[in-house]
Amino acid sequence: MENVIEVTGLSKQYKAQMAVDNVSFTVKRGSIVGLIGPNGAGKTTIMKMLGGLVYPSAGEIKIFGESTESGLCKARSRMCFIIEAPYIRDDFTAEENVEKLRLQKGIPGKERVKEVLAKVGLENTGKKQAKQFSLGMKQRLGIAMSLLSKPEIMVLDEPINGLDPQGIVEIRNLLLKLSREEHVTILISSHILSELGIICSDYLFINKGQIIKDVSAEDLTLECRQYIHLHTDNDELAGTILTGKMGLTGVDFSEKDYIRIYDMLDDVKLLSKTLYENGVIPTELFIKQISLEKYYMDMVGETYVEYN
Amino acid sequence: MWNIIKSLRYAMRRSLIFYSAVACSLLLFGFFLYDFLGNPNLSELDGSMFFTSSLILALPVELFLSLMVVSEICAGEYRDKLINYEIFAGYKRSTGVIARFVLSICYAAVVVLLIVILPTLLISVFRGWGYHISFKEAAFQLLVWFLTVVKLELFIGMLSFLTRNSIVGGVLGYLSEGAIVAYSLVVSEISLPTEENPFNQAVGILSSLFTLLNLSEPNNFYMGFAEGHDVEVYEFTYGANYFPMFFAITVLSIIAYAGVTLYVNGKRDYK
Repeated sequence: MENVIEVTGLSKQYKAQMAVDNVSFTVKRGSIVGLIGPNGAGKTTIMKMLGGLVYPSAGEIKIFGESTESGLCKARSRMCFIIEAPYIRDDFTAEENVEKLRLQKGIPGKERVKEVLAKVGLENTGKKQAKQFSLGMKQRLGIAMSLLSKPEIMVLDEPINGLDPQGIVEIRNLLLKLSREEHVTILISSHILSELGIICSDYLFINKGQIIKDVSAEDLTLECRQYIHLHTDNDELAGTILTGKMGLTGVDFSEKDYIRIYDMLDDVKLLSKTLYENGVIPTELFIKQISLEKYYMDMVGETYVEYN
Repeated sequence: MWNIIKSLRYAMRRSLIFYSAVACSLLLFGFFLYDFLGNPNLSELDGSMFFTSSLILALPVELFLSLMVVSEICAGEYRDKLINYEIFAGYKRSTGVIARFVLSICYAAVVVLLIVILPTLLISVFRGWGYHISFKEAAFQLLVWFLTVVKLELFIGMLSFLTRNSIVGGVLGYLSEGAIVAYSLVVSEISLPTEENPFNQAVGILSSLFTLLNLSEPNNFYMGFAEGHDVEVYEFTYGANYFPMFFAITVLSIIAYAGVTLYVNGKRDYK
């Protein structure tokens, strides 16, 4: 599939600090790419460089095959951006905010304003000024504004920040609909990793200004696949039984306190029985899956503690 | 560019600064009209009389007030980052700057139209043009005034763009203009800014405010005689060197202010 965004060797230096360091990645048409990283990792700076707010110190950005300044300007007219937070006039109503942007973009037809507001459920806000909106309503207004010009690429920085559970589901469904039905390409960052796990087709893990992993959802699923968590009274003997007597190949002994078994997920009873019959008593035996949070924490080298 | 202008105009519908400036302008124009209507020579009112009076009395104040609006037009959208939408929409940064300058100039043009040109035309239709100023001189004075105002607007606009803050930009503009006026007034006390002091004259022209004060100078008229009456005939009374210097400095300043704004705004990152 065609690459709509190609970033090569992109860097941004602020005085002594390297905010983005030699970053390269591509985004395919129709994909939903999750940009994942801790605060200050460089996600927003990358998005600002894509949006033209910030000039790169080095590297090249190519959008729709355009890399010159004027070409990028033209390309950006086919995109939309929500970076940090939606930019909204607090003393305007939802309709006025969208109308102002419609005029700026030269989009014909006032009815488009009502159309996009209806898409995000803000069509009945009437004369209520944006300063009276909740954070979630402001986010939805930002998304309405970004949908105004029927963008081919959406760059969204924390778009579900502050939304209630219902709002999160609505926005998730909207993004999935846009991706599936209108083939909109989406580059999205969020701190709610479980959300990204549901919608993304590709992931870019970023830390300290560098892309540390570029992985597709399929590969990530493989890496985060289900396994049997096994801890016994004699892990050494258990290992010998699993790989020797039972002939299992998907066994991982890298963890200190337990064994990971990627085989026999559909027959845990047999596994338990075989170990018991060979004199090993399983003390912990259950099916588990690495969450995106755990994967992410491992990636950025942080300790992940999950409370059950 | 026109779409940006439309959007900015739309945004002004809730601008407190805009409405304050309009309210102050209406109030001042009301005072001007009150004073004008109390003129004992009102029975001799004609187009040229209104033109000269409005140009000298009402216009400087009105235009100076409009600078509040200019700084808001140029830098107001940095406050809530709405200016970023222009970049996202694919406009070049220069387009945003030019659109704001054009809107600012249009605003000044509307002020001139409303308080000078339209009333003058209306009065001329009913009472004739008169003898207070010739058409040619009127057009020339209007051009000189307008160029000065454009220079002042671009100066305020430049400061607003550079500071990215409409209030700071506006205040800096007034302060720096005030400083040059103070300098020019002191210098003119010591040595009149005439052709013998081209530097002082140039500094005076550089300050739009000082130029506006100069243009309002009551000495810019002489007594003439028309239809059996003595009439005040308004005409600039500057030396031959003044206007070439005026046009050179004004046009160069306009180019410099616009150039600096376009260059700096084009190079700096947006927040």
